[in-house]
Amino acid sequence: MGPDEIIHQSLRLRIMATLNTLPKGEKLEFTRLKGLLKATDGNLGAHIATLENAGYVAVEKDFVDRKPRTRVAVTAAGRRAFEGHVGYLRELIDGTSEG
Amino acid sequence: MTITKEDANQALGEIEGARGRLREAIAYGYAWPYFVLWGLAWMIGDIGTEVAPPRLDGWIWPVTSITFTAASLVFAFIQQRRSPYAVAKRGGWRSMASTGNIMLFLVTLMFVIQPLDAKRAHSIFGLFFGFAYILQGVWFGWRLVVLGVLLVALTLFAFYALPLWGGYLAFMGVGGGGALVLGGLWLRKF
Repeated sequence: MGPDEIIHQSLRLRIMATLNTLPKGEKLEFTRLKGLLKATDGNLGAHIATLENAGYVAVEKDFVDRKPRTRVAVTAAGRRAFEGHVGYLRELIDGTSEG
Repeated sequence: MTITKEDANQALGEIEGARGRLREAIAYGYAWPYFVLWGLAWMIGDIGTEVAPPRLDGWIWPVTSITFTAASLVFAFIQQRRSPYAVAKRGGWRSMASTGNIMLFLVTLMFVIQPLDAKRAHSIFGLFFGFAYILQGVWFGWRLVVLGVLLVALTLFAFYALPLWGGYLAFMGVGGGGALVLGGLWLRKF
C-alpha cells in the first residue's frame, strides 16, 4: 500500500491522528480541535473540508443553547486510510516499503 | 509522492504528538474541577481553623472534608453530562470511586498514625496530594507535574519555616489552596 497524499499533509495528519484516537463514533467540537492543534479557523476549516471531500471525516453542524456548534468525526473509510498510511510510514522506516 | 525515511519519522512523531495532546486534554478535563473544588476546601479549612474560636477549630476540617467530598461526587455527575469527550463521560463513575477511595485512605491513615500533631497531619495531606499530582503528571500531562512540585514545595516551606498558629495555616490556606484553584483554572484553559 502506498502513501495517502491527502492525509500526509502535516495539519491533516494531526487532525486524523487526533480524531482516530477517539473511540469509534465519537465527535470532537471544531473549537476544541482548533485549540488542540493550535490552528486558525480558516486553516483548520480548509483542511477539514479537504478531508470531508475525501470521505475521511464527517462534519455535523447543529445548535446548542442557540449557539452554532460544529463537530467532526472520523469515518470508517478515514480510519482505514489513516491506519493504512501509518502502516506505510512504519514499513518505510523498517525498510520493507519503498519511498 | 515521494516520502523519505526522515519524512516518515517526522510524520510518526507528529501523530504521536497529536495523540498525546488529546490524552492530556482528556486528563485535564477530568482533573480541573477537583483542583478548584479542593483548593477552595483547603482555603476554607485552613483559614477557618486559624480564625475559628478554640472550641470550634477541631470541627472545621472534618465538616469541610465531608462537604467537599459530597461536592466532588456532584461534580463527577456533572462531568458525565458536560464533558466535550464522550469517553470522559463514560469514566464518571471511576472519578467518583477514585475520589472516595483516596478520601477513605486518608481518613483511615489519620486514625492509625495517631498520635500526630496538627502541623504534621496537615503536611501529610499536602505532600500526599503533591506527589500524587506529580505521579499523575508523569503519565497524563506536564502541567500536573508543575502543580505537584509547587504543592510539595509550599508544604515543605510552611512545615519547616512557619508555626502552626499565626503562620502555617494562613499560608497553606492562601498559598496551597490558591495554588490549587489557579492550577485548576490553568488546566481548564488547555
